[in-house]
Amino acid sequence: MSEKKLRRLPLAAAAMVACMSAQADYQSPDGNFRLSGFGTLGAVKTTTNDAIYGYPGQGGGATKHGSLDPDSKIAVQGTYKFAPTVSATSQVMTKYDADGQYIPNINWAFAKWQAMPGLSFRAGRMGAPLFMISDFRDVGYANTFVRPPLDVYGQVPISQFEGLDAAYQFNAGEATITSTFWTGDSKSDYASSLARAPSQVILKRSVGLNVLAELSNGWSLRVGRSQGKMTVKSELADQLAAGAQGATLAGGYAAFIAGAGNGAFAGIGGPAAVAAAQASRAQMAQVASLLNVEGVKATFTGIGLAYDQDNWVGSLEFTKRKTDSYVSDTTGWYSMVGYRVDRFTPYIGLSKIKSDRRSSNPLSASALRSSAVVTNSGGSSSPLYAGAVALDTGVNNVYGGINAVLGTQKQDERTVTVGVRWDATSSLAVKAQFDRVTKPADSQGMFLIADPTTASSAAFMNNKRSVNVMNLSVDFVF
Amino acid sequence: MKTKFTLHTLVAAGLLTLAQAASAQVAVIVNPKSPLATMTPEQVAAIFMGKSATLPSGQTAVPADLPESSSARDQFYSKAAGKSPSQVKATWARLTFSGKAMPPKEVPTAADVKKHVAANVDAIGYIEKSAVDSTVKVVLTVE
Repeated sequence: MSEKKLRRLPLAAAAMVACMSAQADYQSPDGNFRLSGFGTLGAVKTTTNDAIYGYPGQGGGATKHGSLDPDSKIAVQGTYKFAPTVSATSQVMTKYDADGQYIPNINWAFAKWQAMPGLSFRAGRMGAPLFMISDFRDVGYANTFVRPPLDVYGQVPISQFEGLDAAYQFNAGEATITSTFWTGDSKSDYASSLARAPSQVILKRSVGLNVLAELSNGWSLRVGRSQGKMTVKSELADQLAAGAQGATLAGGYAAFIAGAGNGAFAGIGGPAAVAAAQASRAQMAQVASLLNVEGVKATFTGIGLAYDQDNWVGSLEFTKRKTDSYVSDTTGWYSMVGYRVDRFTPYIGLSKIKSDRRSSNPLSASALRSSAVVTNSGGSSSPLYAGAVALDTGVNNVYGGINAVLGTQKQDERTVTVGVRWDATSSLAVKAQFDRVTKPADSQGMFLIADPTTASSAAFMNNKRSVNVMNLSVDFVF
Repeated sequence: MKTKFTLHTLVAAGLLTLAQAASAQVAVIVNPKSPLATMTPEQVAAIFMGKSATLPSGQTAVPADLPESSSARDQFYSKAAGKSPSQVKATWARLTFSGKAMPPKEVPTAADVKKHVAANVDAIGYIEKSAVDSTVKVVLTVE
């Protein structure tokens, strides 16, 4: 199917479903098979062209030119009960992905066994319960806001895993406690610029525990923790690591150190240049270990509080991401509150993400003065000149490339959200939402930078900016 | 696929408003052989809102819902659970699409609810109180 066609697909599907209106929820006469679905048709527009707004990882999104891409999606789910205690569920969703395409993806495909009334086991591909609204975050209809706050939900590109889980539910006084233990592997594509193919984030041997306490007075409390072995496959990082370890740079260092150290340069900075080149070579040796993220420990911890009773609805989540790699450690939180007035729910929200730890570039730009030294000693006529210039260029390329990789990890920002949800029918909600995203200097926020080498991208990165995001969406279930 | 298209949403909504104006008592019913004598609105709501899969007796509940167009349904969810039709739908959208639970089986009429309840000792349903007969046992009345 052509890209054009794929781009139109969700639009056509969403329009069709919206026209059908109300419920098309199908249940077989014996009640054992159920087919239902959900979708969103959402438009987003921002006040900048210097960066792209969308879900982190998506290969595109909204600028001053509005876009339907970030939020629009359609999903169908079928569940079949083979026996009163055994069922199978599959969900297929089409949503704008890291490649900037609408390719249907199997979100879930699992079998469930209700071993006892309070104990169930699942196996297959399932939603990873990393957040409070993890496995229904895409169901716009089920949430008050247009999209889960990206300052929190954008921290982890993974939303599903393949493996096993066990859930145990019991009552403790007024509370219903559900604790879920899960384990498995997951992977996801992640676009960090439009200039290159998306990276791949892989989590292996993840284990997690999620505990939810629901009280009958409308409150619920959720605590979750997971950890796994993370691998990041990034074209840019791989090239840089290979270059840093490559024969070209090694040969360049060796030739310069030998040439500049031979005594002829003693009075014009040769020994200092040799020392600088040796330091640079030592720094270069650390590049590969910085950029090769393979099987490192990654953890995600979150606590959440939600209220939904009578006319008030509210939620609060506090989360922490930690990795033993250049992927930064972050803290993300949000809070929101809404009040139902008949079919309208106006709401406000606040959210923030900040880096707790960022890796720094092991190379220093000033470490190498090879071409300067050669220039001092007679410029381009020196036999060392061509090699020195090539060496400087090589080092600078790696230095700049590392900055580009580390730049994607500078995601600090805060968001103020105001919106209203209108329950137009019992299966369709219309939402209008305004976000004001403010990112500090030296951060790209949760935005996608099309090409970090452009001047407008650099200006966006280097300065404090506030961007307004206007959203209008129609969420439905069918 | 047999799908329902409610093309006359406006008309239906109008009728619904009229029906709600003339709201009656709704009885929560179980099988006469069920060990349950009474239930609290919280216990019933937990089952119909997908919070709990079990009856207070410890058995897995087998609930039946009336259709969305039914006024007894709106009355039931509003009084027993304090939820509007949209809130009920949103709650079930969460549970359904996260693959955690399936909504109660939907049957067309009060007679079908009674038939469902009479056939299964762990069944639970709700109907207008005026429709209650000896084939079922009332454990809670909401109004």
